Amino acid sequence: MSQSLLSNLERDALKECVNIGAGHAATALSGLTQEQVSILVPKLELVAVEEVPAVVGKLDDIMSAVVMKMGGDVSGTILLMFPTQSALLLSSLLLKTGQPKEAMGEDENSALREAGNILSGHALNALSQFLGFRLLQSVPEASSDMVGAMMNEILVHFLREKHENVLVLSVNFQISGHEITGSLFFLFDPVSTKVILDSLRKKLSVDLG
Amino acid sequence: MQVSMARFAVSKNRPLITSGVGSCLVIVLYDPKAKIGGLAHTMLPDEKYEGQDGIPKKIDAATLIGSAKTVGHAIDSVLDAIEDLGGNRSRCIAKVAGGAHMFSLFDAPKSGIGQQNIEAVRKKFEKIKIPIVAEDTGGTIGRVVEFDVQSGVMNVTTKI
Repeated sequence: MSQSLLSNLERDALKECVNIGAGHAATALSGLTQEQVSILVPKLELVAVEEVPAVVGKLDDIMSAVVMKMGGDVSGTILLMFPTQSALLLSSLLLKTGQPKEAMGEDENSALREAGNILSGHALNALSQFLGFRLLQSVPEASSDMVGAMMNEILVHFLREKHENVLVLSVNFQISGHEITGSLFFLFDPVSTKVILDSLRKKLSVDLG
Repeated sequence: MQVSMARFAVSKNRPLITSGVGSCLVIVLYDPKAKIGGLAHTMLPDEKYEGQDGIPKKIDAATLIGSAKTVGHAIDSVLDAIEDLGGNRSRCIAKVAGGAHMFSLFDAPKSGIGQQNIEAVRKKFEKIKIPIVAEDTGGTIGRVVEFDVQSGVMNVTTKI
């Protein structure tokens, strides 16, 4: 990881930003599920494109993911990842079907996509305000498969860019009553990563006077 | 031996395994007489990328050394490595797996990166006259690919 590219001040600022965004998202999820949602420590990574899958999860693990493209002044991808068991529990909560199903079906994927839409929308608002960049999200898509496999298509487009590093902002959350855990990731493509870090540096140095 | 994304390996005895194969294309090259083979986990059909100014450029050859990021370069690297171990490229056969399409957000199925990788590999092997004797490509599911150099068998499984 490129430690030297980010100062402690910059790291803390970005983490705080994710915290705020995650807080909004947790409130939204709480409203949707009528359950307590807790947010765990936000994380920040600045890694080469090929290292991103390992940051997102164990490559061979099967996870259920909701994916959205992020666009506007900067761009990238938003990922909401759940161990499949959590995805099944969450969708049965949202669909109010009592017993969770054995496998993700059309209804379950639909519920998950909707949750992803709402969660990420709230978090993105906070990120947008903090970074001073307009951020929009696409319609969501859902898939369940090995983490490494799902990350292929997402990352290939990042590979076609001149710069190397991807900024990953993430946070884990939990709906404790039901043992549902998930992670929300914001992956900024290499060009956007550079734009964001340059802008952040300028902003912080202005504040420091 | 585990082969990561965008890397390749050649072997005379140890089986070669790679997983998390989505739109990526896994290319196996095998010299059946010498029982020497290689596996590459490739991601891109070609070396093009978009420069900062929006003008298309080519990935610098120096940065590709040791990597299997692109189909064409990976095949050349594996064949060179097989010959370094004592094999002969004129005897080699090929097997491919992968090139799936998972998210319509990023690409359409017929023109997506998975399909582009498949077409790139077919073109390349046709050009260098190496036959593709086994293929498990396309679809929407991720694959795990295991290549046993002793038997020459490529085993493709899915976890879903």
